[in-house]
Amino acid sequence: MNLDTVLAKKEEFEKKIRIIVNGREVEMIIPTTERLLDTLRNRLGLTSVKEGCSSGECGACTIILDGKAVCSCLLHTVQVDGSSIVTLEGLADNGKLHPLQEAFIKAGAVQCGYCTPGMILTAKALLDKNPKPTEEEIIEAISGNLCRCTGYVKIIEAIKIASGAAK
Amino acid sequence: MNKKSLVYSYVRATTIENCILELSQGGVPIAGGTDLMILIRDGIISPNKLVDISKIKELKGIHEENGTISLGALTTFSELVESKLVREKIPVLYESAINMGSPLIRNVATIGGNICNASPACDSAPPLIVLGAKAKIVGNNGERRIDVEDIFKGVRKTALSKDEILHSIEVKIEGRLGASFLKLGKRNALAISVISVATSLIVENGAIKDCKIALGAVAPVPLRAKKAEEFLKGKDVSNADKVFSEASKIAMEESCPITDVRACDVYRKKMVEVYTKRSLLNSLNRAAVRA
Amino acid sequence: MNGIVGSRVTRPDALDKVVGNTKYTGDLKYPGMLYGALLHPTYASALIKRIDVSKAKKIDGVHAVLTAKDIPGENNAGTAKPDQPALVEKRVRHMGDGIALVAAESPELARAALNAIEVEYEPIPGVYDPLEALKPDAPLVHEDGKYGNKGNVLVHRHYEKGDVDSSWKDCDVIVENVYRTPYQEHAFLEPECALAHLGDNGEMIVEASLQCPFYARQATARVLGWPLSKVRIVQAPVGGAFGGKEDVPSEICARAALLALKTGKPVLKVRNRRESLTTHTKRHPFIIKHKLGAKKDGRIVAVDVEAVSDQGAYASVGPYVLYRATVHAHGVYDIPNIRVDTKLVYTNNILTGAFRGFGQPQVAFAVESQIESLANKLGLDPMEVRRKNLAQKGSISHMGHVLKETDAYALKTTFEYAVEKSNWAIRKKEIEEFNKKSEKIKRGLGAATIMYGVSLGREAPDTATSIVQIAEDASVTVAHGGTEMGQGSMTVMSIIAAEELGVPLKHVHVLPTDTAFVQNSGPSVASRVTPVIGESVRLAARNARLALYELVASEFNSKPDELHPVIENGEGYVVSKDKKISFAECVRIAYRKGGCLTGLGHKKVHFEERSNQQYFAFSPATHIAEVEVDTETGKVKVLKITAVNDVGKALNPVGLEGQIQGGVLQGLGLATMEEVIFKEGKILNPDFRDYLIPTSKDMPNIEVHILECPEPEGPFGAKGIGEPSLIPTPAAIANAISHAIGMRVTEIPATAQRIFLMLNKK
Repeated sequence: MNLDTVLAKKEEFEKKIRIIVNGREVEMIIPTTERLLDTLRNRLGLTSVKEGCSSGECGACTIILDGKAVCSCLLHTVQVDGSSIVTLEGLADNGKLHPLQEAFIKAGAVQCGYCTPGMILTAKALLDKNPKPTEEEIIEAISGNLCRCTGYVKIIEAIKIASGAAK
Repeated sequence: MNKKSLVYSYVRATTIENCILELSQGGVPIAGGTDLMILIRDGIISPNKLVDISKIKELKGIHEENGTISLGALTTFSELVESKLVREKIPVLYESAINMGSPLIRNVATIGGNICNASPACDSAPPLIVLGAKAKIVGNNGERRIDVEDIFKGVRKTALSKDEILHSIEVKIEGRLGASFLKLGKRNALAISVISVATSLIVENGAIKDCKIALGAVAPVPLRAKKAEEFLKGKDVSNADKVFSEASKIAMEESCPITDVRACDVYRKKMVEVYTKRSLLNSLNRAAVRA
Repeated sequence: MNGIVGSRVTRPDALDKVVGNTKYTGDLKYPGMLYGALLHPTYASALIKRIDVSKAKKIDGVHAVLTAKDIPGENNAGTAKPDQPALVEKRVRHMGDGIALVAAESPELARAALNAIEVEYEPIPGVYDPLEALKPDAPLVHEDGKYGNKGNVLVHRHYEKGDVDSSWKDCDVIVENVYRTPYQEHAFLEPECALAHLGDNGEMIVEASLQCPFYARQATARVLGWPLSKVRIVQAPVGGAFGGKEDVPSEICARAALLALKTGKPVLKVRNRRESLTTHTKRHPFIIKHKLGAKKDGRIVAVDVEAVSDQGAYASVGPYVLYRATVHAHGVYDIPNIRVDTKLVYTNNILTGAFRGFGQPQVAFAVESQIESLANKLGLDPMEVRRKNLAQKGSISHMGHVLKETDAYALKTTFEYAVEKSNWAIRKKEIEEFNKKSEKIKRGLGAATIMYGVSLGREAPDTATSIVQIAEDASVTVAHGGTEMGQGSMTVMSIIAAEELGVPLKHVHVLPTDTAFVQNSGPSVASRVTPVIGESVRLAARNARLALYELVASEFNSKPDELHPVIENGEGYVVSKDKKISFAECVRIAYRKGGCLTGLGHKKVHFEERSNQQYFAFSPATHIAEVEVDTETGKVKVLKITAVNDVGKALNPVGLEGQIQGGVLQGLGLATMEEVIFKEGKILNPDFRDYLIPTSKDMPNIEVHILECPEPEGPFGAKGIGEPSLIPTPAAIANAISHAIGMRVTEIPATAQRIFLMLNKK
């Protein structure tokens, strides 16, 4: 497809979409090729969503889409028209930290912090569905979120604390 | 990447008819898009238009009717994992689903996408093949059904014509069937199969009445080890260990894996042998339980 | 002590990280910001005949297209040697080379500009294997002798102690093997990035993800042709580094700065994962020929180590890696006859450089495998053989290093503690019983003992300077030259300052690292951040405290040295024999008197000129691994790692645990699944799909034990943990696998395929 064709059919290469992001309704006109990751970071300033690998292999770009933890680098924004998205910025409730955020701090589960947003969101999606997961279920749930710093141990502890299961 | 920046248009199909129309005009279907996004990024495919089929209701859902389980093409791997029906009635598919990708990928990736992407390492193919699953395909010329294994024509090539879409997968439940899926990966999650094996057995009066062996990642398409199956038919299961050992050797000979960054061909072949035997033993246990 | 050191604290930067406020370099946006991109070559070894950037320059929205000709200063971004151009002009030496730089209004336009640059190459023969590169007729990567290199041998080190060659006949048993380790990728989650912009007062300011702002400043200033004083490097929050951001940022910052200079606009240069994987430095792969001879009672008589490592096309920090590997090649043992010969070789592969462990995981794998191999051959328990040979006070190495008492004590203590805590003897018996009854699944127990030379060693200048300032309201700022890359240096510095000053932790604020604040304090590597940089912080805090006491002593009717700090009920106090005044009030008094409450601390690691001490202290560690091997497939499952690490003093226990857990898992990755695969200079697995690091499901049971055998040189006796947390793990796992399968694993990663092929070698 060359530039002339594109210019001629401009409307087809852009779409107006409406999504709910962190509880707020947002309407935007988005190029069809744009990734959700880029829309969230660059248009909405939600820089907590990180780009780690651009191929869904690390989970740093994890967001919660209609209640499910997914990789935003693998989605076109136009695919999620009408959906509801939660990023880390949307977790704290009027300044009050979500139990996962508190637990991550308390358990020492944060080192470089780059995997943290994705990790917390994956954990949130887990706890929303399964409030008292076993250790095995936690390990399984975060298996798509890579961490190079912590060895996962304190992350798992943090999720246990947040679920009320640990001391 | 020395490639020109690609642009493509996008449309959401809300009905099957709508979808078929768009595909007939050259659109490329996108469901979850987890494979597609990478193929586009790497310049392996260059679509003019993406047709988003993910909201087409008729392609969703897992139902059981008259002894047949129907899995909508849009069924995500997470839905497969969470489905009580799948876990109880066709657990071999559960085994493959839980080991595919990661939970993040499973939340989005669909069984239809996995099949139609037709990667040699496609994880859902071996279990569906040994279940004797059928694919319901719809297009301009109406609907047709073919065996799932006949969908795969080559690396990323399927038997679907441009206007066709995979509608659903149908699995007739065979109560006595015991099946097992095993996957060899290089780590315990987010691992592409080095090889995968699915087997199914039906045992009657102490002998193998029917058996299927499907191998993944050892040929351009998921491979039925037909010679090994032939060998097994009619064999006495009291001799299972010996008989399965021989069958596995035959299956190994039937496979034609390549050497790539993940593994060498020699190793893959030997693993076909090991995993086929293990899978057959598992299938036998499950068949026995059900008998 | 005031109870801050050793307490379980929360990180000062944790809150921002868990709410998503932390801005990494790639999250920053400045008005008018442009995006930088670099053109890489399509060959690993070639001459450049022609570069045509005219088409790229014409693209609307592209603000600059630069080549080597546009470099105003010196075209040199090298670290150990000046052999690495920021942009290549006539010759391509590896696929990580940069040919042209563009700055454009969007990443897409930058990519389009790269695509529009035409380069004409003439491929020339290259060399891709270090052993091949040693051959006399091998193509030369650099001109002979230009960087002190002999042919392709960049560095050659050779040391002898005693008489190795005559010793073999005195040995009752000899074990000889060739060990191989892979190129390992750091796989930090945040790819490399830098953002350069011209400051208001003629400065070039570069914010970047890095481990050594000072290297980056040197390279940037050199390339721009500017004085160091006008180049300011500010460390942004770093999403993981592990050595991969020690010198690599030098070229990135220099390039971003060049673009910022030429365009007059802020320029952000971010690597995507593929570019990062295919171009940045990797861990040095080693080929180690190891010969070990002993008496039948287990006493080692002689060791001969010959090691060759691939440096890639430019020196990076390779020579320093070789140094560390050379010093530690003989392990932790007292050996009368030693020969160590190590070579660092240029090839046309991607550069190898700093990676957590820095040459030691590789040599430890070899020597620790040899010792267990020796034990097996003699029918003795490996721990018994280690115990018999463990270096003691006064043991002399092949480089003449005399082991000091505190180090010998720490080594012995750590070792014995690990033997006890892992229940070694009992576990071994249980595992051997299990193996008797299990045909296809075998279990194994293996260990590795190391001692890590703290900081840079005698061959490098090793200093750090810090500033502690007490403000009028008694809050404290700390400026230091170390970098926070997740390991918790910010936490540790605030702990050190708070403890030394006698103020609650929450009153101490550690500033982001900035070359404008402190002088060159070296890189944040070699586990030196706590012991060396931390000690400079302690000295700065101490000097600030002493200055305060001088100013307020009269209020107590005491001499300054009769005052000391106390923390009570969450408040700091200055206390004499019979009086107590709050720290805050003392500060107010000091300010009223016009006093100076800025403390400067400078730590220099000192080596006696006439001694042969190589490192001023050692951090010992013993790790013990339990594995399970499926002998039909070769698949290894690591069940448990017992990690015993001596840290001198545990300043930040939470941080230490996290470091050890993370280091162990990275070590597990190196031992079982990580390897960069090259073919003729090109990386064949340049993405996370095929370069595999451990996921949560690959995590074993990790049991951490932290010991404190104090080191007088470090702050409150602390050594470091960054690297000793990783180094013994791969060796321990390899030994456990060897125990399980009854064959010596000589190559890591011990992938299922490798183990299977070993077991089925006909």
